[in-house]
Amino acid sequence: MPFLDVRSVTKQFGGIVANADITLTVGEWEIVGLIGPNGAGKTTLFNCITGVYPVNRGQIYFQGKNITKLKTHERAALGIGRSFQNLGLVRGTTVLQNLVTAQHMTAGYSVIEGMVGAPSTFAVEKELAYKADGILEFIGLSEFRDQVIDDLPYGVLKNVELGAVLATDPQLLLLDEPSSGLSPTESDQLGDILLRLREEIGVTILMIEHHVPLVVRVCDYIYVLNFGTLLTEGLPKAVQSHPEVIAAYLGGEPAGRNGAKAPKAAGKAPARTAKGKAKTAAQTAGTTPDYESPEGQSQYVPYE
Amino acid sequence: MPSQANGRGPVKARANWKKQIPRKLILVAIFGGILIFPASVSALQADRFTLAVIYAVIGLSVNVLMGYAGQISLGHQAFVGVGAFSAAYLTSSSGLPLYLSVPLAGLIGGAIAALLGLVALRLAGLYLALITLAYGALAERSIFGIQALTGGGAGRSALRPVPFTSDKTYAYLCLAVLAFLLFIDWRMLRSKFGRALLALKSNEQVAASFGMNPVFYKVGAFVMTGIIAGIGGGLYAFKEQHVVSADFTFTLALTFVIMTVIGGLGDRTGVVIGSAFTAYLPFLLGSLSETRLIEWLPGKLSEKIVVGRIAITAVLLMLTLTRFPGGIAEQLHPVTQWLSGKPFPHHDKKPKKNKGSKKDDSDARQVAASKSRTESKVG
Repeated sequence: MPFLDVRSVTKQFGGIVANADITLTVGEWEIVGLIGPNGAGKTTLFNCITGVYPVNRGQIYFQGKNITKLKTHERAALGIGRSFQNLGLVRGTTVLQNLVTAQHMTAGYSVIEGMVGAPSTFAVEKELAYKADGILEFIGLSEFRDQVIDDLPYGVLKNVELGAVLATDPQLLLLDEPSSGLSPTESDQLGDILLRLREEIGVTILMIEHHVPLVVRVCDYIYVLNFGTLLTEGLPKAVQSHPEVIAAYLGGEPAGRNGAKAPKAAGKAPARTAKGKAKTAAQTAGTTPDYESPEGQSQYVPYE
Repeated sequence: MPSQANGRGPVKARANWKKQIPRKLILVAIFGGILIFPASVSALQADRFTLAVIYAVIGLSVNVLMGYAGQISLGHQAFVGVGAFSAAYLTSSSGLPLYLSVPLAGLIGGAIAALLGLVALRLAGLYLALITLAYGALAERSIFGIQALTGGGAGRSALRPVPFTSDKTYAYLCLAVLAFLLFIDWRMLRSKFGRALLALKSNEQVAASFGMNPVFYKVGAFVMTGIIAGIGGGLYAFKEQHVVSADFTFTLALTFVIMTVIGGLGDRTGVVIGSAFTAYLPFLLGSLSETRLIEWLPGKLSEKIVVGRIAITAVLLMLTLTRFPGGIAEQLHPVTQWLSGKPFPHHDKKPKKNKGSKKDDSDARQVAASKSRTESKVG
């Protein structure tokens, strides 16, 4: 049973089909990439998964439970955390306050108890701040702890946002372009953080990302969207050299479109395993993708 | 210089203990002054003080909606009026004591506001403002005209019970209620309800992704604002001891909004000061009647006061909207920070971003230059 199971989801805005019959799965502890040119419908799909938009057709299952009809906050309560393209943070408050705000569901007291200042709430608030500090340290943002987010640069805020999403205690992380605004070194560090997250917290990640080195390094599997449809899927390296993907990004006709079609989803059959916890299993099966070797990458850098 | 740079550790914290004493003394002086004020002045002054306190309560109510939740209400006089008439009705008809009728007035105000909250789920911004405006006008014309409840044009009396018959003791009661509401407001903002309101104001989708139920918290904000406004109205009823519907006109709703904005949206200290100032303004102008300051204004004294009040409020509002969006609170921020035990925020430490005038720039450069100089010396 896949962790997240999106079954032929279709989302239309009037006559525009933003997502047409999209089917994708994310296994537990996997890091799955969702790529595609601008306007391909990636963020729309995120909005469908998180419940911002109701879908027109199709179902979404999370941990075997049909969540298609649930509201956004109910899905969040099930453990779906999400970052936003334009920063999912609360303006006018500090970094720490943002991370405490994000722990809304963890704060296990009632609204009225909090308002009248019931003694137990003070202890809970202390715990929330303690956990927020821990997350800040994990991401390496402790120095910005008490700064108001409006004063911070975008690159830092992108990481603060990741921290806020982590503070919601998600089991599934939906990251919308986590490396946008980061320098190459910073996005390298982000890659470390994402891999550590999987190792140490055991979180599953589905991320929209344009930065190729990061995608290739981190993702176990990639789905490619174009014009609202699923173009192809497969292991990072296979997808990267897929002619239709290159065509989608750079425009023009893919070599094999009319004649011999490019092998669809080169790696679909065997190699789908999370690298982290299931590493040993993957190794014994001999299918761990060779994501370390950089050769051949510079030949096709279609995403930049 | 170097010792100062290193002095942010525990050494400085210990030194701070002595530095805190004058701040504490000033705080004690301020709160002590407020505490003994009603007792030490005439009954008339105490009554005016009570009005200022009630305005502060209403200001807190507006602040919950506009400052924290980012919604708008131009019908706040209706919430206050509903509270006032509820308290008066419960006391004069059902004979409920004050300590029951005022909280009940708050609950009724909250229930009425919840209806508007349900509307706010579907409308936002200007349209919501229009609906609240219409609601205020509707209440003024219809609800407040129901003879059985409000006594029609004649109004309804709300006599104060025994310990509070004097204006001075009543002033203390209102002060206690304000203190209680300030505490609630403080805890609300520091717990999940307040944080949810701020998150919703910032971005509804983000708030929902944090697991906050937008419907619950949006309506909750209206309920909260209605409860506080209802309590304010109840206190007002017992202050006047006679409530008439003519007291709750649209102008009053504008006053409530403007005083909160001038005070500083989202900052309870500023809101209390702004509201109290607005309540006192007519009296201040009245006491100026003998001087040349307002003598040149047209009309009788009462007209002069109205004109002067509108002029001053308008100027303050324009200043707030164009130059100081944080209102009075923003201006007082360094002082309140200092009084709360934090270091006085100097300009060179944290230069303001958008207001980077040339002078600030050169200052910053000088600081940087001197820093590099000291560093090179050390090196």
